[in-house]
Amino acid sequence: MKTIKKLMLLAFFLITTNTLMAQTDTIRIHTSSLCDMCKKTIEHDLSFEKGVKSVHLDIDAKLVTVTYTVSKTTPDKIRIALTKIGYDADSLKADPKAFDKLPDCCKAPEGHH
Amino acid sequence: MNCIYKTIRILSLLRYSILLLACAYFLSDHVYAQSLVKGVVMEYDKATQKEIPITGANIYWLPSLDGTSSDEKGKFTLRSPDMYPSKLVVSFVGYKPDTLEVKSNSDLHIRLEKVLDLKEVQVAARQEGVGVSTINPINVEKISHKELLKAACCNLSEAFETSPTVNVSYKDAITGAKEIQLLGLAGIYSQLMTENIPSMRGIASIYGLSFIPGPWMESIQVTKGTGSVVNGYESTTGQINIEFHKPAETTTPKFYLNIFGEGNGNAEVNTFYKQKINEKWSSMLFVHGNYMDKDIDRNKDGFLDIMHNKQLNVYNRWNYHSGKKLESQLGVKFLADEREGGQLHSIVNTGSHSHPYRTSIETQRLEAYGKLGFIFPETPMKSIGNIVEYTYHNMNSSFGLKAYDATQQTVYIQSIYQNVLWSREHQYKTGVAFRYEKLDQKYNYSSIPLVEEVVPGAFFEYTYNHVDRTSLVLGLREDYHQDYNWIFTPSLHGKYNFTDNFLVRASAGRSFRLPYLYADNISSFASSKEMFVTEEILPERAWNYGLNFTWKFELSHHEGSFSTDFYRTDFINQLVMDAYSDSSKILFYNLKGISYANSFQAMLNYELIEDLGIRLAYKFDDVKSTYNGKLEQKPLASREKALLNISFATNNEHWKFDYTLVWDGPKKLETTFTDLDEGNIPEYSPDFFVMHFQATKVFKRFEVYAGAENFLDYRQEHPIINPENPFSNTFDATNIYAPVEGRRIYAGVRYSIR
Repeated sequence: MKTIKKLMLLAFFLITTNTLMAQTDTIRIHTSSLCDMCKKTIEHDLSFEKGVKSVHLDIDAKLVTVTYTVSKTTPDKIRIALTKIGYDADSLKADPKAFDKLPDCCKAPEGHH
Repeated sequence: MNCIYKTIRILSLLRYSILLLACAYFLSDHVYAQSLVKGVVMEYDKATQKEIPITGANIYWLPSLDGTSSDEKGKFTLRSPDMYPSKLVVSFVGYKPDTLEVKSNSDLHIRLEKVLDLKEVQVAARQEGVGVSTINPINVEKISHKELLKAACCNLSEAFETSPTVNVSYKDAITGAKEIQLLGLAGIYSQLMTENIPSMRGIASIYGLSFIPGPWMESIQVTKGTGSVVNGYESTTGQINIEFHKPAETTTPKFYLNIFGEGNGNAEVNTFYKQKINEKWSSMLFVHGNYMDKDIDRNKDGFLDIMHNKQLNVYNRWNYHSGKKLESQLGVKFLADEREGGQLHSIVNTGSHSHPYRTSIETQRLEAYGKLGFIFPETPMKSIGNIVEYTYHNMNSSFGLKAYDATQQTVYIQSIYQNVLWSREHQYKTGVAFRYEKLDQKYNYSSIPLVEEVVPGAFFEYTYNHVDRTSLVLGLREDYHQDYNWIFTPSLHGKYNFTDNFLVRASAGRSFRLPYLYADNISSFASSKEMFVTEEILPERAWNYGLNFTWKFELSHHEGSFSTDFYRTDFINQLVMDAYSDSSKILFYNLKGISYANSFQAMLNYELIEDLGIRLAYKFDDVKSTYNGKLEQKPLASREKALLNISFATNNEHWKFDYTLVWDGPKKLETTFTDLDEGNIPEYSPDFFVMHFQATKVFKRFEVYAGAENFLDYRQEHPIINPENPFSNTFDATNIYAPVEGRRIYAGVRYSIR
């Protein structure tokens, strides 16, 4: 048990120091999300991209707020990562292969005008 | 227009206005264009082939979020964007949001499409673990999927660890069977339902909690006090409704696998697979299995602390959605369970008997149901729901020299019609129900007269909702039982909002229940005492009253809630289980005198800092009944409990930590009146602490979790009285106030494909 405790403390320490030391920046990306499922997918998958610290999606505004470590990634890399999940990222279109794999609710056509 | 829509609209507007305010603040240095864009938001009504304006729709520009909402005629005016083309978002609760590319300053005509959905619209800013609603007139606590993951694994009996409302206690030291206690009273007085169908009734209630695997559940709703008459007459202290994952649910993964292992040798596997067959049909297959065959006897009394257990549980459900008016659900569940315990095989010397004391319980269960629902797109509040269910439950059990075998078959049919009375403020549900039940029992291999029940009934429930202030639910139900004639079940719920965030709820209602002498008291088989029924058993009837205050607050930008409640159950008749009067027998008779349960609870939930939630709760139950003319506390019933839960998650929940500390106060021990007079046996059990914690590391496609239950390893030292002589007349394994199994260290992996 002691080792688990130590490991947990160490993990916590690493997370904290990381946050304190690395220089971060925040960007907003317009995307093509539609539903709660999209929110889950984008927030989960994008948060595992290298250098990404936190992801928050506003479904109604179709806006992803990403905080990232400047030395590890760039806004463009994040946008490309988002298209590879299957969603538009500002002017970049979603990767068609990834889009096909999305659940149906995330594929509904973008309204009709 | 009407109150529900208004509530939803006000809430959603409130959310947007906060958002907009925040954005306005950040973007205040932007230069706004001078001109205006006008438009109208409409809905196309297929029934009348006309357009209807949508009031209160949100209209805003991207990315500035600068926006407005539509008026009674669906009209809106807003400032032109900084440049053209620009994206405009139009959204409203219950409709598909739309994004348009606006190229010029011309007038806009926007049509929104309705989202066809049978589910209630839920208004929640974020998913709270244990949700406290300020909208529902009935006091319902929601335990979300997120909260369910905090418990170790794998069944319903572990799902309430972080909730103060429901107590889970052990029934005896041999089977390890767990029992729910709500408002201080045993689980038999609350109604367990799966997706609003009464479930795990009668003989199934004994181990029913361990027959519902945790990972299958989407959420649990706990109603405290009188429930809805729509679901029957049997709920005294509350209703616990379980929602499983559904094939049409988009947030449910396509495939899910959970593998769980415990230091004591217990292993469990849960999985489900979701499949969309075509536009209309979808299905889901759930499988659960667990296996435990290690001999564990840490207290060295010669008895297994944890029973050997094998379980296979399969559930297949189908969903049909016509896309318009019809929705249907079909499901089949199958369960096989084997438990074995008692004395270790190595023990041969058991006093007068040459063979050891063994316990075994075998269960087979089959459930099949069908649901058929009609909705009317032109009148959204109108619907018809039909349910048919068949259940077969068989158990064979032995406790030393005692044996109990039972087969229960139930057919349940219900039709509900729901509509508005004059306006949306007045709604009602009405319908008919029918229950057929056949119970075949054998005690010590001799048959007990067959119990056959046919109970038709009808119910009416009226709901009044005044613009997010006052709500009232009046329920009336009448059933006819062949032996006990008319069963009248009234219930009343009221809610009043002093402010949007501070409200009071009150409830009162009556219940009726036929006791299952053997099944309700199966734990007494684990004692040398003989069950002795002194008179003809009559149905149990009780009144329940409750009062609840809920206050939601925001302190330094973090949400919190405080709720406190008091409930009282008054029995008109009860089947009294009397262990006080005779040291060699457990007497059963109808209540003569008074019997009540008072329950007080206070709970505070607060998000201390972002992603760090804290819950503090205190509960006090006072449960008394008249035993042979004396008003005494019910033995082993919960009295005092305090709970602390802290949950913490890192950014985007890559790491999740959960910690729970429970203090369990002293309980009245099972003693006889002579013991009490002589004073040679302690009257109360010691108090103790139980601590659980869990850590989860989330990876992109899977999660790894590990934790400990009862980390402090608190165990009742001598759970069994006279374990050396299990066939003697002083043997007793029912005087249980604390866990028998000590610390449980576990780890597991969850893998899912979306």
